[in-house]
Amino acid sequence: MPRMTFPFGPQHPVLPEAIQLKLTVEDERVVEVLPAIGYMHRGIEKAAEKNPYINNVFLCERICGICSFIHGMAYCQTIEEIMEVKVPPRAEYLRVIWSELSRLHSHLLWLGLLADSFGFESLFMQCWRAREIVLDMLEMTTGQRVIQSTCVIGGVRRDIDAEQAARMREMLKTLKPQIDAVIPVFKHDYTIKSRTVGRGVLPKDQAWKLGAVGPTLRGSGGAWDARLTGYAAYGELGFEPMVETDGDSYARTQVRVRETYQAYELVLKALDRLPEGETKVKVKGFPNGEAAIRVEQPRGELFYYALGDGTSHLERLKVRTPTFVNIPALLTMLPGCEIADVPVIVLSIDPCMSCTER
Amino acid sequence: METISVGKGELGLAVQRLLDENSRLVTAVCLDQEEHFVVKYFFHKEPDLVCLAVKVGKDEELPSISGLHLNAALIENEMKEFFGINITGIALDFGGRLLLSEESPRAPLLKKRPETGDGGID
Repeated sequence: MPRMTFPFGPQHPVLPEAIQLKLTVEDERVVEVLPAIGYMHRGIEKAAEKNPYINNVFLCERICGICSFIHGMAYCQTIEEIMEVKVPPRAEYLRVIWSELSRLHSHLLWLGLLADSFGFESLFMQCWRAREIVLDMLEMTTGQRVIQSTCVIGGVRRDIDAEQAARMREMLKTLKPQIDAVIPVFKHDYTIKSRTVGRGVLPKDQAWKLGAVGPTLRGSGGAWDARLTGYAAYGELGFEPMVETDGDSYARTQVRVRETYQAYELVLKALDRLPEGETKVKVKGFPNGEAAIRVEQPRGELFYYALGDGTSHLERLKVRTPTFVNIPALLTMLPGCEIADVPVIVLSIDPCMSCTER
Repeated sequence: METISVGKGELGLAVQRLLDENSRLVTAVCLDQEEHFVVKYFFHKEPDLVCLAVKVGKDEELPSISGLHLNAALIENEMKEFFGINITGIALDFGGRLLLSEESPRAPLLKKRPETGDGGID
């Protein structure tokens, strides 16, 4: 059969993200891939230069609807580092709670999408039903389900009181059996295994050399997780990264499965150890200097860089999101696979084009 | 975070040295400083970041590092599109069409945009 090039995306039933991959195939087998992005660029870095620096928290939160809290927190941490602001311990723990709730709902959403990609509609709905409980927890504690607007420079604007903490523990108790019911399917089901084991293999050395992050790197045996830097309260919670070694779509799924439980435990642990005290400090003045920070989103390491010149506006804000650096890894996974496996392999890096293009 | 200033000519060697030490490119940030650009390459070198800073004149060429680290290709394409910086030899060059379209403004992240009149909306 002659070589043929055709587009995968930008709209595809399995991927609600506007990315196009130009696939060159021979005999149903992919031999070459070229990405085309840029369908939804919003110029957020430019907008951040035009906004007063304090307002950028709300702008950065809108980079992504799934990990909006983590974007806001990353921006706050960057400015706090420039301005040498010490965030109160209670705020650091609250940031961990909301970050891990974001990871929990993101991974449940992704597991649902994976189930949907195989046509497992019931499993998809069960994952998303469990996710609703997490969104309810976010809504109860922050007032919002998607864009929380809770992080501020100097801490957080909301608190979790004893009554809410008790209610959260009850909701987590309800959530646990729902996760336990769906996870075995992702581990043991024949169809899921046959579509993911040995598909889209990314060896460890390549994952590192190509700059892969998050479950894409950890599924290939790379033990890097930005939470190891101990930001917020992670340094006090005994955090260990979840690592699998096979480097295939199944390994990346198992990393997310294990991280779902880990996020659940981290929320409980942070609730148990939540220190008393203030939730924010007053921040005066304007950022003067530069800082670069890394935090861990559900999809991997997120990088923020800010340069302030002592005025109310930033000279430069740079955001580098996990999918942007996972695309080169994806281009390595696809050649050699069958056309039918492309959607699942693409899904296995959990692409977020809204983040990527900013 | 350690910052090392290097010249354009030494960039390749400095990057290779970091890669030999098992570092990985996190990203690069381009700064428009009126007379010139400063490009900062951030490398993850366990457990911290190391920054290589390169000063480039606005009419000068900057050699791509994508031959050493393929992950740099998308990052360099983005810098080239958004700042108009002349990065040469990118392994996968999108020719200004990675993120921007024909109707997009040219070099939108420059502090003062050139009046080229070559299309684009403001």
